[in-house]
Amino acid sequence: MPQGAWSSEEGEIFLARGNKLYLDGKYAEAKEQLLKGTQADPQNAEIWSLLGTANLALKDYAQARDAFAKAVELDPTIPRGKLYLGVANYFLGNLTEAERWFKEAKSIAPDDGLVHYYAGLVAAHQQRPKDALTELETGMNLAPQFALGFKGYQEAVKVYREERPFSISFTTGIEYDDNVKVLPDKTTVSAVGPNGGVTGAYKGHKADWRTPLILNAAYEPIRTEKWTGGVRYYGYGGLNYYLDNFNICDQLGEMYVKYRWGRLTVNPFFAFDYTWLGGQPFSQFISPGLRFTLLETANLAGDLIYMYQDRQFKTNIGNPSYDRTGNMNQVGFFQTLAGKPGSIRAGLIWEREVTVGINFTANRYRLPVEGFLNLPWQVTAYGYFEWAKTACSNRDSFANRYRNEDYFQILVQLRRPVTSWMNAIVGYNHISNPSNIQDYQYDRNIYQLLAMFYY
Amino acid sequence: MNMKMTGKRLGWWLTLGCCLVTFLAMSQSAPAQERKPAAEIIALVGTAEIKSPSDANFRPAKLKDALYPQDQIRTLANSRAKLFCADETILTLGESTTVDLAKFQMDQQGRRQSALVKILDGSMRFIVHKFTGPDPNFEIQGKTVVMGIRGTDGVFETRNPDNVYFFSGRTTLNLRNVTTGQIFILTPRNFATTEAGRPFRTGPVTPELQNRVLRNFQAAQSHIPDAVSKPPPPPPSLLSALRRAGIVFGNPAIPQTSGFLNTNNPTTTQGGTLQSTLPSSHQGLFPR
Repeated sequence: MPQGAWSSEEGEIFLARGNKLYLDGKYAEAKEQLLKGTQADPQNAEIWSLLGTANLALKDYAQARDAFAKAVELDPTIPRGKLYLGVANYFLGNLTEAERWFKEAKSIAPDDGLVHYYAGLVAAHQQRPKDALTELETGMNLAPQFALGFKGYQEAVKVYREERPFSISFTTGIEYDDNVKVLPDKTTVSAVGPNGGVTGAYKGHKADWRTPLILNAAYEPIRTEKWTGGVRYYGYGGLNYYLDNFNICDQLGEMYVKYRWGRLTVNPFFAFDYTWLGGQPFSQFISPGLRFTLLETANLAGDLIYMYQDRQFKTNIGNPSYDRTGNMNQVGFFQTLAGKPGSIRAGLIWEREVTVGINFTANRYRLPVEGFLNLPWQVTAYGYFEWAKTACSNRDSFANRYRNEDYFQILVQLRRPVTSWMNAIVGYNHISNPSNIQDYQYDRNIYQLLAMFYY
Repeated sequence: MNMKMTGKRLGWWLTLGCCLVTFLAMSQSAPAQERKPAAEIIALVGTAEIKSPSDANFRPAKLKDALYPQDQIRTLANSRAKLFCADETILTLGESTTVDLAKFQMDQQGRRQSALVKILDGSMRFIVHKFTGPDPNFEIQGKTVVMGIRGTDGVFETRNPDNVYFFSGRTTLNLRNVTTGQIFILTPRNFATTEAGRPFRTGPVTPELQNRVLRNFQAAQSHIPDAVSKPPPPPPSLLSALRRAGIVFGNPAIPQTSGFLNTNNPTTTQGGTLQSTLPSSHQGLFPR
């Protein structure tokens, strides 16, 4: 105990007066008495500490910081002195300084829940969600009476739980697809069709049940303040129960680097996408691109993307007019709004597809909108809507007309965690492709019941 | 007859009026006789208990509890309690101490008339607010000694023997051994030890002794302001940053190539979409 801490009888009386006034909720009056106390007995750490506490109550954080600094200087072990010095710094936005004091406070009183709560708050602001969550949960165990005040932060950092640099998930279940073959109701082309050489309504089944097998993995080994880099993989296998010659297998890989420069992130990427249909090679897309993301406001971000795509893309029907191999240039602009209830992104894409065959060279204008919505009972709703206008540059070789389409699709999924490692997903997907050429018109409905296992 | 009746009635009404006036006067004076708190607990470390004369047992004490004349307060092991009296005297009870606020009288102007605090067991630090009267009117009584105090700071230990440490003050302490009747004047920076049937023994209070004794009365209170226990909710900017990092939309260009609309953050499995069909760019070219 410091020698001087008890040296002034007058200081003790000011301290007692201040203490009583503080307990009566008269913080300003308490502060006044305690200021007199510091003049009467400037070496009394307890007076400085209570003065700091009164300042905290009055939200005079700068004065609180100065008072606690003096209290801690006089008596480094004064109860909660270092904690409150950290708290004052936290409210003043001096996170590094606050963190330092919380570490010291923790070494003195490791079981003080408030120290952990505030260490968690600092970690949250410093974008260290794992540390934040650990500290907040420790605080809630040690001092549950204060949990309510910190619940919002706990909820906020929970989304960050998956902070490790890798992830893997596997999804499967059952789907019903009412147009597995993606066929129009009627054809005017006599050279194709299940029975060959016929026109009119298609015969045979085009609906089927299916089990999808979806593997999703990501690894992001580069994570520094400025740089992020990683790879991700997406594998999809759609196993139809009857129409197995329409089974799809897709392998997608992406490499990316992100460089943050202030509010701007520059993100070059390279993607490789290979698809089989019915066991036969179907498409190969090689896609380098560059994405700029600007954090416009706290809740709004914008994306500007350019992508070039080299495409090997044809069927085995043997008609070179329908060879879709070629390239595509794409420019997209998106706005993403993030808020407490969820996030939404809307965009506009222009793409120019140039193909070897004459039937697919086109300009396409797409308007995708997608969003997450946090619902009660841990349910997350995901929605995706896209409208795409396709205007072909050549007359269709069969219909002898410029093809003009208004493709749109809507996807709605509801997800809910069942365990800490599994989500249940129920979804509905509708796709429609109105076209001025009947052979390109189709509708499709898919109903999903899936389970996603993740680590 | 009528006159007689009128006189009787008048007397009856006068008697009733007098009773009413007396009753009202008594009612007016009643608040003046209400018990006023002698002290309030302003700091508490560990556990303390209070007992009023009407109580059979001690009950737990808490901050801001008022103590009235004749109330007793006791601290348990490793506990301290600081009392702030109505006259601004500060009494700090050390651990395992029982104190009886035997008497505490204030005048109409809020000045102390007389006070007697009995330390039944344990030790107590006292900072007695100075007063202007000619005689000490604040007394502390232990097992063998009674002490009259003016404005002063010291510690009274009632164990066996009684010890009085006088740290600072502008006057002296008057000690009286109740077993021998010996009176002793204790001056600042000295201590006195009293045992039954024996004369006072005294010595100087060294800084080391003062620190050692006062360590037992440390009751520094750490209040928790609402501003600390209920911080403002996370600002929208933080929520937004966390949310974006937690569930973000992926590269919107890539889904156009793959059609799988994977909006996952690469390392988050909570978000993202599972698209089971081929994308628009693939469709329309199936074998027909």
